[in-house]
Amino acid sequence: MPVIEFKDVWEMYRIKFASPGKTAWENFWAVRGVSFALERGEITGIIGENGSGKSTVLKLITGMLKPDRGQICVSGSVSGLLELGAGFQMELTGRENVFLQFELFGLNASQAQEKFQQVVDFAEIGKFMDAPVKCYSQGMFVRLAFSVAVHVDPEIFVIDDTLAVGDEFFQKKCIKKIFELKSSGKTIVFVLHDMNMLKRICGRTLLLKEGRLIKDGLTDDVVALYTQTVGTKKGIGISEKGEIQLVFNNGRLFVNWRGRLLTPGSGVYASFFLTDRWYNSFQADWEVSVSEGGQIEAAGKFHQLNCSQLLKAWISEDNAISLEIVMDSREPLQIQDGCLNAMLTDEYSQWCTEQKQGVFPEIGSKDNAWHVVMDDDNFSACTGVFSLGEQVPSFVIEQEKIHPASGFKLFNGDYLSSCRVLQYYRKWLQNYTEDMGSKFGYFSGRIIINTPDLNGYLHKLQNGSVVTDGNLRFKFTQGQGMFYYKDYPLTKGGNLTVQMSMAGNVYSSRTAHWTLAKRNGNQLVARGEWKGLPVVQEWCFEIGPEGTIFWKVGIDVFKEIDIEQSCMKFNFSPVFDAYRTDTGQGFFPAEFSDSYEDVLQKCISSGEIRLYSANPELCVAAGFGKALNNFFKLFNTDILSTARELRIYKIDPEANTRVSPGRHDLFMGWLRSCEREKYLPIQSKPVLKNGNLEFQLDNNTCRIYWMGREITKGLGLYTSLRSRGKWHDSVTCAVCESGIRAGEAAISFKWIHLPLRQEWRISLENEHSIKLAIAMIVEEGLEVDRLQTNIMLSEFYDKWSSAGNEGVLPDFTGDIDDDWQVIFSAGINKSGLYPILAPDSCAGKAFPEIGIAPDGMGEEWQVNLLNSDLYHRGRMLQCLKAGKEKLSAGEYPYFNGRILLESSR
Amino acid sequence: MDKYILGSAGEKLKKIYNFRRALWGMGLKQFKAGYAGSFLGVFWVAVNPVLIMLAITFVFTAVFKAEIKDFGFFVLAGILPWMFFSGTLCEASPSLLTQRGVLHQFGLPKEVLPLGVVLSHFMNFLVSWCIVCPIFIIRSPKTIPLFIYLPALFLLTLVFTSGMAVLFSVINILFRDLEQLIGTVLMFWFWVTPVFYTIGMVPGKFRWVFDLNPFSSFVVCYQDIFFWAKAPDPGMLCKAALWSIFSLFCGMLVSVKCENEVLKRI
Repeated sequence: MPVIEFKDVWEMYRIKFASPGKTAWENFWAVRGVSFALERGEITGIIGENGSGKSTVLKLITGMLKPDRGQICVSGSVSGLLELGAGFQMELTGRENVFLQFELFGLNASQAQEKFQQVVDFAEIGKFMDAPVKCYSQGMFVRLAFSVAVHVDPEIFVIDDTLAVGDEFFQKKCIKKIFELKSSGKTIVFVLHDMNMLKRICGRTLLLKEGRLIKDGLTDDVVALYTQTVGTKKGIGISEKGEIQLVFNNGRLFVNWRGRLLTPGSGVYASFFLTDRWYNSFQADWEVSVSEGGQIEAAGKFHQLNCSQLLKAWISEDNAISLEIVMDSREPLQIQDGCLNAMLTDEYSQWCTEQKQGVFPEIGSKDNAWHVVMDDDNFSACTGVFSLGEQVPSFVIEQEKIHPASGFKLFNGDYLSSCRVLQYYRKWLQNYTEDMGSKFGYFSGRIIINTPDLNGYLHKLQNGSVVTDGNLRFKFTQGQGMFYYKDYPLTKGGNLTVQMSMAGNVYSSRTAHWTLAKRNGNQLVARGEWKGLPVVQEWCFEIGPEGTIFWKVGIDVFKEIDIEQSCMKFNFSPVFDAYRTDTGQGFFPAEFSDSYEDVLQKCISSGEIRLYSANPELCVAAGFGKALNNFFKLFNTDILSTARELRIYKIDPEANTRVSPGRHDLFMGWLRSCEREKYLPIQSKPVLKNGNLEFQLDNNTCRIYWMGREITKGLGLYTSLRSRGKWHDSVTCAVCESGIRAGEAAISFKWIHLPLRQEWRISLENEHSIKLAIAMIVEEGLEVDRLQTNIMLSEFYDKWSSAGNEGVLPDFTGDIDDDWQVIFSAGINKSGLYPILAPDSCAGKAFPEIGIAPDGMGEEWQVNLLNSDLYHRGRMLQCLKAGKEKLSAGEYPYFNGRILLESSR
Repeated sequence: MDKYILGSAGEKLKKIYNFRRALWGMGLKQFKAGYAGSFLGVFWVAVNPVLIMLAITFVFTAVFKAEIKDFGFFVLAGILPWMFFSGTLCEASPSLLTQRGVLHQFGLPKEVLPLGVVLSHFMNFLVSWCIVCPIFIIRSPKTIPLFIYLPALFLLTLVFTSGMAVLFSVINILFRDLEQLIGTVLMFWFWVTPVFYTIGMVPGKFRWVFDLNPFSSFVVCYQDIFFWAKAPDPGMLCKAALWSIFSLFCGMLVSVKCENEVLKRI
């Protein structure tokens, strides 16, 4: 038998409406034909908008009101908390009031004594128990009132939404107490506005609207209906088609499928960060219209921001909702972060993206924070959630166009709302705000419900941006390329990007707007453009024979533009610990430091670099088109990004930054997996040989060998010139090309930041003489103040002589950074005065005497003998011209002469 | 309909009975509160009627030359029940408004409020008789055996007053003007109640007024016992009993009938 039974209950108030100059009495039906029956031991919630008759129903239950029509049957004593402080005598102390209340409820003295202590313990208001209740704070009131109301042991307990006054701790205590009452068979009726709390407490809920009971059922279902219908009428729009019902309610979009709400709580809503706080779409003031075709068009005003959010949503197909959100602002908005959150029921247990899938963990921790489930999937097109059972359909959010710096995250919602959160996030880069104009896109895409084949769908999407041969995979998303080998990522962080300095700004491929096309299943073409630039970048990736991925990056220029520099950046995974080029090999430093660390700088000769890792499967070879005048650098990045960075620079030989309209290739190359070889095929170096004498070019460095032993050291034979206070060495120049023809080595050095090139010609006249001629070709006006040709020799040389002068070379002293110590200096034309170095007597045999003999050079040159600094520990023979000089374009002699070895004097 | 109302009136009484502890508690509390902190304390219940008795005696013996012997005693016998009755009505009629908070907690029947007032005044009433009684005993020891009538008489007075208190408290809600009117009504009622004159002194053609006045019969009974030291007239006693039942019936009926309206308005 029900404890509380309402049979078609009507309740009317006669209300006097006193508008100025006219008073009228009107009948107001607060409760209209409400029927329900509550059983013993039930906790029932009542929800509804303000004025929907909730409190009246409670009063009817307590008997404070009698129905005008219909019947109410309440069996059992009723206690409750309807009006805060009602029934308390303000002048009496808390203690006296408690006893008074006990008396009113009908407890006798001994019962009252016994309960009193329980009330005191529960209320925890300390010595205020003996203060007049008029001195109480609201919180104390509710503590005492609630304590009394529950401790009188009523059969039926009703509570209006007064608990909110208490602090969180007390609320929890109250809820615990209410559950105790429930388990001891009491009937509890609750009016609540906190939907999360309602879901925790009440199994059953009644929803009232304008005095009518419009839903009576399981709390989740009733709350779902309520959250969709509460709110200002002009902010609500409904569209229905097929199995989907879409309810837009004042900034929240609710998705129903087959009569089930998939997005409880706040539904789908937008949230953006501005200056110092987040703004949610449901804080705006919305006006909605629904067109005949079922398109919901809504405009929400953020009054405090002077901007609006415009939303369009319609059910485009049987299982898809198209959604478009646009921000509209008269003033520039500095929005940097924005997201679209979909709160989903916790029946969703699994998720998947284009790349991976996983399972949601239990919503365990009882705090108010969201817990990240998936976050690292940058720049994906879509993310979906699904449940293995059939209770809920799959739910996918897909962005129409992949925006720069956008992607998806998944969360477990806070404990109370216990939702899964599917979040689309987007960042607006600083330099975009100005281009946005008064309107700019916030989100455009689709929500797809119940995709028949979710995996197939995602697979298809994924394929759209991927080329693969099965093992090696390249994926393109939003100006970034990612390489995988058998699902193992080869790149990380920024992955593969292209950077161009154009018209004074640096543009990364990540900030462009890309369109993607796939041809023949094995070729991926992406075109990216930047707003306001007459340049389109095109990436073309293609899977070739033997699983090699070839790429070509080019630009289409529509209007003449300055492009200072282009650079292709790979951030490789730190599992790669060693590299090899065709001229040498080495290891990456094991540790990452605070700043980028140069590992290798090289011009591309044959154009291949290999990266090795400890895992024999994970070794790659990358090649670069030689013809494009490229050179590359290897870095260890800083400790934050911990990646091996490979940068390929495009150098224009004419040092011309102006690019004419038309098609230009920037980079060309390939990547494949390779094997880690024990002996690496290092290309033979250019070598000249004559008897005991041998000359080699090794990675920009020229070395001299005598009887198989190197007599140079460190930087070897090199040139060094100073322009505007900066030194430029041949050893570190960007491009070094060499060839040997007819016993003569021709080497060409080229610098990046200097309109300059050197042409070396080297031949071995005999075993004792190296002939060296260096010409300097200046491409445009250049100021230099020091020109040097140097030979850095082994420290085993310790004596010198020069036409009657001679001496012992001193030991290396001082600090590493000290200036090099000049030991002897001579003018150029006093022939015979050139210094000759003799080797240490101990090491004597293998080291020949050596001297430098310029031939036919200007008076301004001089020859020096120096000790290098402590770091290099080399003996230096140097031909030097000092003094500021402006060189116009043209060819200049730089060095002419010989290096003489052993007895040629 | 009537059956339904009657049924619910009975149910109402049952419910009130269920809340008897609350009722008792309220009565006792108000009784105590009335004299808390005052110098004479509970003796005020006797002092007031005695002072009024003195005033009336002065006016009617010195000014109007009343012909009743021991006029002071005569007035005293009648003024005590009257003051109980009028005091109760005065306080009970606005009780639903002044103490409405109490109703908001445990589903207390609203009649408990006026009845609580009745109860506290009834206690006063009993105490005042206890104080005043020795005067009458000294004057005429013959009254002592007559005290066996008192419990019945007190009960009838209580029932009658309760009915009136409930009725007035309800009417007070429906017609707020009663609050202003109640003083005048009570004064008028006082004049038509034979407290400082006997019914015999009233000219015959006006006698019906006193016959219709329910409280006359009660006052006459009290005067019979205490002043005339004779058994109360059975006719009068019967009349009082009938009036009591009628009053209670009326009070409950109106209260139940108007329950909806009243609850909404408080």
